[in-house]
Formats: sequence, C-alpha cells, structure tokens
Amino acid sequence: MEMTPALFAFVADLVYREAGMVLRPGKEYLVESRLKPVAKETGHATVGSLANALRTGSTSLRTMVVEALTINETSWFRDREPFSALTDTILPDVLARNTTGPLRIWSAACSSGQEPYSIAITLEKALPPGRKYQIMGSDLSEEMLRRSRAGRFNQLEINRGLPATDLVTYFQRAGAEWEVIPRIRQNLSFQRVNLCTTLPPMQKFDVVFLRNVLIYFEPETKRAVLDRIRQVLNPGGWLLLGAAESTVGIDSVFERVPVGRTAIYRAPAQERLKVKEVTQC
Amino acid sequence: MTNDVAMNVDVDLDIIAEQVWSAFLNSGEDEAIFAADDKGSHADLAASVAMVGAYEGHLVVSCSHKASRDVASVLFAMEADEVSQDDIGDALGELANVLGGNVKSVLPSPSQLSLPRVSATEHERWPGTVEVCRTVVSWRGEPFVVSLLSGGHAVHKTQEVPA
Amino acid sequence: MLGIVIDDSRAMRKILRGLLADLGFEVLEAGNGQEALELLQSTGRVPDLALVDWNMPVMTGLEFVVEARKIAELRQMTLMMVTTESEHGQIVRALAAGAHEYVIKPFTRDGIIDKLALLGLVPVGVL
Repeated sequence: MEMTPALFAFVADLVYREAGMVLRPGKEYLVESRLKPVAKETGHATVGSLANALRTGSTSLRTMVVEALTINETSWFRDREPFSALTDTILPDVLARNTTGPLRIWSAACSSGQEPYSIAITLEKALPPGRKYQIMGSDLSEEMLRRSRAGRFNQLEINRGLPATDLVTYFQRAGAEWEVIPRIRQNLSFQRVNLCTTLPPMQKFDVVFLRNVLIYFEPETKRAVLDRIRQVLNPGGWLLLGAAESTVGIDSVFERVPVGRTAIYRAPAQERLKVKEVTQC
Repeated sequence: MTNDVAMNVDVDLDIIAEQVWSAFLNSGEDEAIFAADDKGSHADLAASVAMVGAYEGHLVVSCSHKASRDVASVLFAMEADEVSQDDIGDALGELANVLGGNVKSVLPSPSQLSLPRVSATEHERWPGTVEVCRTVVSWRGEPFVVSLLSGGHAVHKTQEVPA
Repeated sequence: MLGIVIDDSRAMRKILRGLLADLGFEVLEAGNGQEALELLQSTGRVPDLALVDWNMPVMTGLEFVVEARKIAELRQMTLMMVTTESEHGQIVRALAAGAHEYVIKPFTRDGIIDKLALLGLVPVGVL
C-alpha cells in the first residue's frame, strides 16, 4: 500500500497528539525509514499498510510507531559546549549557593542515556571530592528508559564521541557491549515523563538539560513546557537548550546568559511572590 | 590454556555480526538479517583469523563467490564486475579481522589475533577444532556463516592473505 | 590538513581515505607501521593526523605509536587508533603508549567525525 498524503497526515497527527512532535510534509522519507523495521516486525508488507492499520490498530502498535519516530541518535557530550558551560559557568554558581546538598540535574528526553551519563562523567571530573550528585533521566519511550537504566552501549554507540580516556575510566566490558561502572550508575535514576502534560511530583533541580526537544513543539506547547520546567527548578537554577533553540520570544522569565558561542538560561534568583487578589470592602 | 567460553558468546556473536554488517555493509537496501540456518547454501571461500593465547581457536566467515564479490564491491565502492581477486581477498580478510577482534574481546584474555587468511573452502581444514557457536547472516540473499572454533593449532598465525 | 591512513587492508584504507578527503584532508597511505615511518622520513612530511590500525604485518600499530612518539618532528601529529582490538586492557595499552584517541572497528562515518571533532581537527557539528 502506498504512503498517501492522507496516511502521512494521519501519522503526523498521531505523533503530534502523543508526543507533541511536528512532522511537516516533506518528512516522508523519515517516516519511511523509521517505520520500515516496525512494519517488518509487525508483519506489514509496507510502511503504508502499517500506517493504514494504525487507524484501527491497538494502542501498543501506536506506541511502537510513536517511539520509532521520536527516537534520536545521540552522541556523547553532544555539541560539547553545554558541557563546558556546565563546568565553567553553572557549577561554580550552583556550588556557591548550594553548599552541602547533592547537586540535582534533570536530563529531559534522555533517549538511550548518552546525555545523563555524559553529565555524570562531567560531574565526576569537576565536582570537589566527596560532593554528591543525583541525575534524573526521563523519556517518553519505555524502550529508551530500559536502555538508559541498563547503562549498556554497543561498540557503534561508544564510538560516537566518547573520549577513549573516559571509556576506560568509567566503563567496563559487558560481553560485546560496554557498561557504565556501578559507582556512577548509582547516581542516576530514570522515569517516564511526558513533557506535554502536568509533571509528576518531583524534587527541585539545580540544572535541567532540555536539548533538542522544543524544536519539535508548536509555540503554545513550547511555552507550556518551559513553564513547567521553571516550576521544578530551584531559584537561580539553570536550563540548557539545544543549539538551535532559545527561550527568547517564548518565555520572558528565563534570563539568557551568553556563554562562548552558545547561551544558557537562568531562572529568577527569587521566586516571584504571587500577588494576592485585593478584595474591596 | 583453558577454553572456558563465556556462556553468552553465542548472543555476543550475533550482536557483533549485526554491528559489523550494519556499519560496513549497509548501503541503503542491503539490510542484513539473521537466517535460521545455512541449509542449501554453498560456501566457496573462507576467511579466518586465529586467536592464540588464553583462548585458542579461529573465527571463520564463509560465503559464496558471488557474496564475496559483493562484499568487495561495497567496501571498495566499485562495481561488482570491476573488483579483482585481490580485492576480494582483502575485503573478506578485513571482514574476518573485524569480526575476530570483536569476538576476541568477549573471550578469555589475553590472546593475540593473527593476520587474516582467505582461501577456497575446499583447501581449508581446521583439524582438532570444535565449533563453539555460529551465526548465519543473510545479506543480499546470500548466506554468510560466521563460526567460532575452539582448539586446534593456530597453523596460520603469521601467514598473510594469499594472492 | 594532512592525514595518513595506516592499515594493511586496502579496502579499509580506501574507506578512511575517502572520509578524510571529504573533510578536506590531503591523505597519505601506508600498509604497515614501518612503511609509514619510511614514507614520513623520506618525504619529510608531518601529518596532523594518523589513523592507525593495530594488527598489521612487519610493524604493528602499537609499535608504530611507540616509535612515532620518540620522533621529535612528529610530536604534533595526533594519533588515533582505528582497530578491531577492543579489550579494555588493549585500549589502556594504546593510550599509555601515546595514542590520543581510539576508534573500535566497525565504525560509522559519524563515529570517526565525532572523534575528530573531539580532537579539534574538524568543527563540531559537521555532517
């Protein structure tokens, strides 16, 4: 069955409703290449017939399709600059204000785990000895969370920009794959979070990585997501976005702080007091 | 010189073969799939590397003339009818080298890897060896049998790819 | 930028040469460590980058790294192993001998580019 414009629109609408990701016409090749393995796995001869089956298909089939389309290949220390900003700008600031407690960082939409583990490796090198940290990784996909929790990566994933000195220091062999050492893994936890709905209750964070997520959202969704993120940041906490993303024009509360060739964002140091409604006597 | 092989080496062999094919031999439509068995297939050529040390054995990959020509054609980025016998030996030998090195890393260490050797299957014998596990990769409709052998003498430790 | 690909497989040399050439490198080739040392000595050229296989006849990649680190003129050359040797201990050995980076075969084009970005040899974000 052909992948007709109507079927593409159906898939795009599904992905938008379930994951808030915008698939514009012209991305047919992406749908085709990402869904081919799902079609094969579920016994559909073509991606078109898989898309057609979605109309009446089970929730699990829809979940498989949404997951296949929202997964991104991740490199270690992706774009590098956010990680130097973390070491050079963010950590000195956060450590000065939060002098004793564990540092708390959220890696939102963490995919297969390269980002939260890259953050952990950065902290292992940069934090004063004995200083504790907690990293929460979240994703929409249960499959990605399972892989993140395992902390296991195949040879091809390991090659994607992980410095060899970090590989031999923070990983051990696990059969044909590599596994993050337990000493680091104990500082990470993972849970499913849908950024497009109300967030589950969580302790506040000093830093949130929300990289290459907003680009998939429409402006209203972007605004709502940034608003939710700000509510789980400590006063003066930091937000890191993807290279092509910004809060500018969407959210006026975050302060844009230029660092190197990029920018990071800071929540207000004092939470604004809610103005009480004045009732007239 | 024990050959206590990790329990999961068969699973590891699958993972390794999948990665090698997807990284080096996946040009668009050529996705490799694992075949249930190699019944009815005929292997003309075998490329192998020997492991010597804590583990003693061989990693052997065998396939048909046509399949070996296709491998060379993809790795050398040339038309299949342009590749020479020399190119085929080089490409298949490198395939065995990459598979062998990765397999060595899940076996008892330290062991050394020999240079690859490629020859017609009718001339290849691995006396005194036992097959530990195998995986069959189907690529462009042609089966490739990747097998891990244990034991035997590492007879071709220093031999080079024959012309 | 000048690169040298040292690998006994002609297929592998062709793949790596093509990749480096796409990134704007001029590329030299050698089939083993000894051949590479002789080529660099006779031409007097100093590559910015050497991609070095481990298992090769005559002189292995590890031996090449050890020799190259002894030669003052080659001090600026970045050494990246590209090899199927993938035990934890082997990577430690190569780094201790003076290799700057390590890529495990099989690799993808993106994997090599990520590592070169790490080494500052190509800009971050090249595709």
